[in-house]
Amino acid sequence: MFHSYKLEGYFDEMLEKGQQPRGHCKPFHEKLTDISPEELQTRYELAQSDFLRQGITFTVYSDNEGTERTMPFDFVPKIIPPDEWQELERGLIQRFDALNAFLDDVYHEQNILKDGVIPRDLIVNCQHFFEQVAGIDLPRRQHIFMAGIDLIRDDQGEYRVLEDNLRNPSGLSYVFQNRYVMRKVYPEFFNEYSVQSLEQQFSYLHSAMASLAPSQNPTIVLLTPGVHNSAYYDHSFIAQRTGIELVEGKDLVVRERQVFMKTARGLKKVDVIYRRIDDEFLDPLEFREDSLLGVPGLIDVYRAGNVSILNGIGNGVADDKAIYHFVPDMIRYYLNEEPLVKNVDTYLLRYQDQLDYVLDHISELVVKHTSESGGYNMLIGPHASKEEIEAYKKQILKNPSEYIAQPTIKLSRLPAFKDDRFAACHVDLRVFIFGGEKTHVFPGGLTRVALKEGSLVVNSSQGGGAKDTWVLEENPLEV
Amino acid sequence: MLSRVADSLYWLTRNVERAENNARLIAVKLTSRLENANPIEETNQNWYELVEISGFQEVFDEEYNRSSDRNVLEFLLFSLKNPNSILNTITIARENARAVREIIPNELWESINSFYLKLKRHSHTPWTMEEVNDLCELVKKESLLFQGIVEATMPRGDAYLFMEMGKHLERAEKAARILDVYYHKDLECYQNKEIVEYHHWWSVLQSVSGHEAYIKTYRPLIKSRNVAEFFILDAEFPRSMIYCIHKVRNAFVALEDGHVEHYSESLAQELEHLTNDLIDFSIEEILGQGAHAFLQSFQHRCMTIGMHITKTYYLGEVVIP
Repeated sequence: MFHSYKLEGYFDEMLEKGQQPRGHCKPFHEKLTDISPEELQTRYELAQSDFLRQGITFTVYSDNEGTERTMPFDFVPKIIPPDEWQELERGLIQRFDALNAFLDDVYHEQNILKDGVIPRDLIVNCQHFFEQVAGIDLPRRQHIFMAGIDLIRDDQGEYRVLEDNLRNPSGLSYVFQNRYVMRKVYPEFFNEYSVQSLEQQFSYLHSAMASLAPSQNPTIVLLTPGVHNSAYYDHSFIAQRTGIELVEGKDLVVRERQVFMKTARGLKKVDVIYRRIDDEFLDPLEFREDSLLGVPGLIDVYRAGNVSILNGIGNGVADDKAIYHFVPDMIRYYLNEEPLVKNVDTYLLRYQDQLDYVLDHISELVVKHTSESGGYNMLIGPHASKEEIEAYKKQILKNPSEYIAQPTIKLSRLPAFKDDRFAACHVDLRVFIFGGEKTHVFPGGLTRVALKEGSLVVNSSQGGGAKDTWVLEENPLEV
Repeated sequence: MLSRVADSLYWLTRNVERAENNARLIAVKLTSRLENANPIEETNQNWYELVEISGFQEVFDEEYNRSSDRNVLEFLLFSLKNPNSILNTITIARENARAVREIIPNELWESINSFYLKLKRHSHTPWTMEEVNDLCELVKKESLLFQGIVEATMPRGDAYLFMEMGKHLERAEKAARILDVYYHKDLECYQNKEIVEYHHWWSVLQSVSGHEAYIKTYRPLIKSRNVAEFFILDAEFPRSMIYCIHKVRNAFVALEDGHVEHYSESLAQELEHLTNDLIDFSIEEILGQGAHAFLQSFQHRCMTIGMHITKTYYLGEVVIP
């Protein structure tokens, strides 16, 4: 099964040089080699049909008719030893707290701009910076309720942050579903491991939401764009498991600077809205007039302090691809600490010297547009043809400040099951972090895998799949 | 509970019930055709009855120029043009379930989702007449599974009560419609009238799975008067009109904790009047005023109740076909 498996100079998270399993992966690797390929194939199909039956699908709009697809699931998990996780956890809390302090600062005193740590024009020209919410004091000064931070490991195995998602990171439900399916279809894989459980996380989640409410015993709702949104499953799952009401914009109404939901027995006041609708669509009176998803008058209620909106409005100013470059500086500025988890080196093409460098070395670099995500509108230098590079260069030169570049990272790899063998596929990890009374890191996260061999793109819209993520207990119970 | 949620729950069970009734009607038609002593007399007209029961004759006539068995079955099973085709009703039911999947048990969502996926698969593959019976069986079984999960896992709170109202209102209305269409039919033209009549009413009873219960009360004497009494007034049979209206009323009373408030007054009244009429009238009185007139008025009153439910609980804009 591993006969054609090659390390090829990448950091493999399961196998060391000489194809020997790393210590914490040994029991798993042994189990893996015990099972026949036929058995693995049967179980693989069982797992996929489970996702389909549960309707855990996302919609792909490749043609006019959206088709429902399941996210491919690979059963080889990412296994994280306890010491590695604790270090990561510290680094992520540090980063989260600095980003939150930054958001509170740019919407109030703007000290970091006054002190020249971050160029002012980068903020005020950012399309996600909303003056409408400047000066609003949020409960606990908490702008970030849930962050999804994407991590990768480089060729030395060192974790680095690839991207911060502070607006509406999705994928939490997949973390649970991956675990459920794993437990159901491959129970024996867990035998020799003591994996941190995910179950109590919903109590954290709920108390985090409640701690950010304007008043005691709040009524909390999750605002979704509706069943046709590609992340709808995520929304309904979180609402169900945290025991909050799932609402659409049309279910809410504003009266006398309060938000209400329309129930079968009349109006009921709402205190906290965990919204999964983008800022621009929240309130047609303040943002996009054509939005049918939002609630007219909502921002006014927010301003009056009568409703909490999670995540805060205007968070996009802190997870922009250009701002990313300055996050280590934020950590030094607000916390007086050195960053524990590094960034990937980033060139900002707004600076002439960095632009020159990038244009000269473009075939070694990955270039991204600052406001795009999901693996769209980017150039992967080493994989691009001459024509593609020339076309992209032209595009850059029209407005260089909208682009950043990064070295092609040799993303780490893990085995993934392919028909009758294992292939080495690149992975990344989205970790979820919650703010509230105390910053809390969700153990593990969503491991995404580029199932097309050689591909570096892990996004589900482009052929990516998911894996279960195991964080091992520090003191495993003796069985 | 959100009005939108109540609306989805109400239409979820209504649509599953609708699909099941359609499947029952088709299945009975298939067997009655095989059983009939004089198959030549089972003309295409008889298939058209099913289109009449669905209430979308105009759509059918526009789509097809002939009411052959295949056309009718295509129309009732998979046609996207027929709002009440089984595929359409289950698609709607699934969309409603998806919109409230955080409210309903996961098992219930999984069952309606697989139900939909199975139907969708069938609709994409060419089907033979021989498979239709199996397909109807599948629809009935899936619907029963769905109801079983509801009964076995759902707390008897608001969500359950809205589902109860939807299911039983749909069932009552459909029972009236079935009886009406069959009652309307002129059997005089048949040569072997007695045998045809027997089969005719036997099919009607089968379509609501009432043939066995009927025999226990009336012995195997199949008479139109008795069938009508059984269909309309049997207080114990779970698909009779009176039983279903009782169920709708009970759900309403539970929802309102036995009180009648200003906002629910008109719904309370409608339900009470209809229940009283069913209790007060004997079958002779009903048939005396004309079965057709009575059944038409009953269907109309069900629609009115549906509209009052919508208004009372602020359910979404809904069109009852």
